[in-house]
Amino acid sequence: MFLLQKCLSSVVFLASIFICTHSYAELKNKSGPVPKPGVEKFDFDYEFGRPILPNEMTYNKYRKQHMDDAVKMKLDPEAVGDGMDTWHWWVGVDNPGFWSDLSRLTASKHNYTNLRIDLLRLLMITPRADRFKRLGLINDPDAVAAEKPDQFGMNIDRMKDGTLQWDPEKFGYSSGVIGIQLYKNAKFDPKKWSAEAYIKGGEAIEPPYITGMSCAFCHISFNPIHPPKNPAEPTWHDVTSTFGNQYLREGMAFGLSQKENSIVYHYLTTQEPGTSETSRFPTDSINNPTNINAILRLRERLTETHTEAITPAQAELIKSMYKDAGIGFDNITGALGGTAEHPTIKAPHILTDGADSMGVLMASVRVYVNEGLMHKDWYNTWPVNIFDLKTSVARGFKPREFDIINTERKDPESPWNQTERRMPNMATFLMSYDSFPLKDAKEVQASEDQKTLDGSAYLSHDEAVLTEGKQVFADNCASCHSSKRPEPFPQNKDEQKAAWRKLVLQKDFLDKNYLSDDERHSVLEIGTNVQRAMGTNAMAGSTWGQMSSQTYKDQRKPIITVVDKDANGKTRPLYNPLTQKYDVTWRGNAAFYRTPTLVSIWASAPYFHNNSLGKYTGDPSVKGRMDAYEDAMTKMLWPEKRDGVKSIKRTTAETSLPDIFPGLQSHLKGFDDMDLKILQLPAGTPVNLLLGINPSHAPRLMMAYVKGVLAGKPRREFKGLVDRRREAGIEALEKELLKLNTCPDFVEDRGHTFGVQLSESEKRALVEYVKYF
Amino acid sequence: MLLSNLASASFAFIFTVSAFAKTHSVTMKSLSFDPKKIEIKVGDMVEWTNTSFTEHSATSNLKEGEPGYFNTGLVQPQKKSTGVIFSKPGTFLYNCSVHGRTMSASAVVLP
Repeated sequence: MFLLQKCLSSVVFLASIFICTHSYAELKNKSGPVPKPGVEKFDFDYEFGRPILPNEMTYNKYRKQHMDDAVKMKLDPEAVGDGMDTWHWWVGVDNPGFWSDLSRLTASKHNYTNLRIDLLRLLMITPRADRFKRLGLINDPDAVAAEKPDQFGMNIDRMKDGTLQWDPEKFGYSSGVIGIQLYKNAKFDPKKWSAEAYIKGGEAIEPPYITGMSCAFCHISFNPIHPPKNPAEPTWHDVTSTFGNQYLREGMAFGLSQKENSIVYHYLTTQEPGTSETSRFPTDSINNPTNINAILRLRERLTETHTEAITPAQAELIKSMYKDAGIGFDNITGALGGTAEHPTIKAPHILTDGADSMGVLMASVRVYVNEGLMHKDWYNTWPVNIFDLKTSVARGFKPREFDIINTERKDPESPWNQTERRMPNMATFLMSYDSFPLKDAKEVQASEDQKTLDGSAYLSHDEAVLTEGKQVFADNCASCHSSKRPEPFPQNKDEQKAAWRKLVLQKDFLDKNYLSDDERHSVLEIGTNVQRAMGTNAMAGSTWGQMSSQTYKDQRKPIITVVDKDANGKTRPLYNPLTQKYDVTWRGNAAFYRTPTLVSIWASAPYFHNNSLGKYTGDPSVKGRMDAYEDAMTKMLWPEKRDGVKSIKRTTAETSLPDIFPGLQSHLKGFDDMDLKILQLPAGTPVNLLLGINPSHAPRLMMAYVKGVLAGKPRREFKGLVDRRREAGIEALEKELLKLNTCPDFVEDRGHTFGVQLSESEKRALVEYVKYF
Repeated sequence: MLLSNLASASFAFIFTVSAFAKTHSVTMKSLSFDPKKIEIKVGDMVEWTNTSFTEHSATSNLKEGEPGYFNTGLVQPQKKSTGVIFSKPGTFLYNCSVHGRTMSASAVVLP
């Protein structure tokens, strides 16, 4: 390849001599990319794949069909169409720059992360046929696999000719994966390009395309009621845009080339399918991926808004954003109220922990920041800024607020502002999804002789069972998992029970029911693993500090003792993986989980905020979803069948400390004689024992190791003792890792044991009834 | 559909074509015009033929209403636009209204 490029200039010269007999196209095919005559910046033509076939379903038709359906829901079809484009293809103007920065940094020799984060490389080394199976990525039906390498030697998918129906400078070219868009790279220099060298890494090479990420990357999924015949080659009938990709292996996508002796490998491979680690980059030193939940019945959800206190500065910010986006201050997605001194906003709770509490507009634009919008400013808010480690060390790994109030919106054409103006139509689009009833699910048939069961076959029609299930739901679940409530709501407990039963037994109870109260509930009440709720990024002074309400921040202030519960509901300390006893007494800030919706929950197992309850089938067929449903519901209602301590994420090989530590060594005075490579922890070490560490604690960890090795002997004897006393050093280090851990809650599938006291019959009845949601 | 496209097309310079005026053809491809730069004389007419699989337009970069503005409207695949006659010399940039600057070209009108 390199030789070919070296020869380019002479080829061009020869071509100019024989210009009458050799066309540019012929030359290009024979010799690779060639700058076009008269064009200073290197430009090239996008190479399309095969033409669309007559009557073939395309995005444009999918879009049109959805717009027509939206009319039936009394939504503005043009707004829905525009919002749909934003959802699928908008990359917040500048997030390709973020992914390019990551690509350059992680390809270079000075890579603190020991990771290779590069979406283009990911596409180059993961063929279309393998992407779903390996990484859970949803291939774009409008693209096809490359039949041969393109002009740059890259085997990346091509858009079908005729499917590009937008300006590629704005929305990009499809990469072949929904949610990753390609843009021509203005910095590309064909003379320096080599596809092989790019894949290998070791030096930053500018590729022909840069990549951007849209919302659809995480949120698109297979249609539960119309599964794909071949998940690697779905049609637009087989996908749905807001259900949430419960198959996405986000961690794996970032960690394809990791070695097993790196903690980063275990961090990424143990991330549950269908989760996103949204505090991966602005890390709060808690490993807490959260499930990508379905966005359904948004209109009904907006009836469940809560009044939250905000600061006067936040109120002014919201007003300015609303004016720019063209929505009223009393908009249902976040109505302003209160007084000038004590303003409020009436908003839904959006993130898993209810931290996104400043209305739909703010919550939506925030997501784009997490995808890389205005990334240069965002980096400076990260406690560990991998682009400027020295400054992070200097400020003691303290976070900073992403400053929307004073900085990011100063330019009316900033990526933030451009994005916020697109959000009202996107919200309208998101309102256009209701549910995916199991009764309507049509099973995929791989072959004509295959016997399959459609969704209706999984439903019980036994009225006695369903009535019992409804009563159990009314008695045990509805107070949190319903947006409909008895009216008026009785004061007396017995009357409340009767009123709930009456409501749930009504024929239309499930219609337009968001099946959640959208409230924040204490982790002590829910009992599930607290790591996600303990996240600190929405606290004052942290990355999202300006985007969360004062109410949220105030609710987080009290200190609580986090506890586990045994099978009888009796509280006990948290599980200690070092002693294998429940003896970790740990106190942290009050924390919450908002109630998730149960709409179409038959299709979205495994459960809990971390997708840790129930087996992962990786199978989008109706049967695959029902297998996952049965397993997760069984473990929900029969907690003794859960994995328990086996759900702790553990390493599978001897593993080093977080890869960033060697980069910190120059800042750790007094540890110059230490080879950090010797700090290897054995296979089976809890992953979060290593990951729940703020880098500011590195000196204390080193000291613990040194003291363990020395066992009271003078420091000068360390070098002589370290080989013989290594195990003692590691043991001391592990204890210190636990002591300093930001959130030592290791059991992933614990908690939410509501209903454990029910009879076998009642539990089965509930399982049958919930299939109708 | 074609009729509506024709109806929406606006032409900058429509007047009697001289006996020497020529009609030129530009092809709309998947994401480009061919030729990308066409040289014509004052009074010549240009027609755009869409040989691709998606609709395109040839839309002047000038603002609508400005002298020299033209817009073929959307031309469906395998169809031809109504002709645009260029009455003044100069370089006229245009692009596809669907695909933006990526699909752009120019007409150089010589006296």
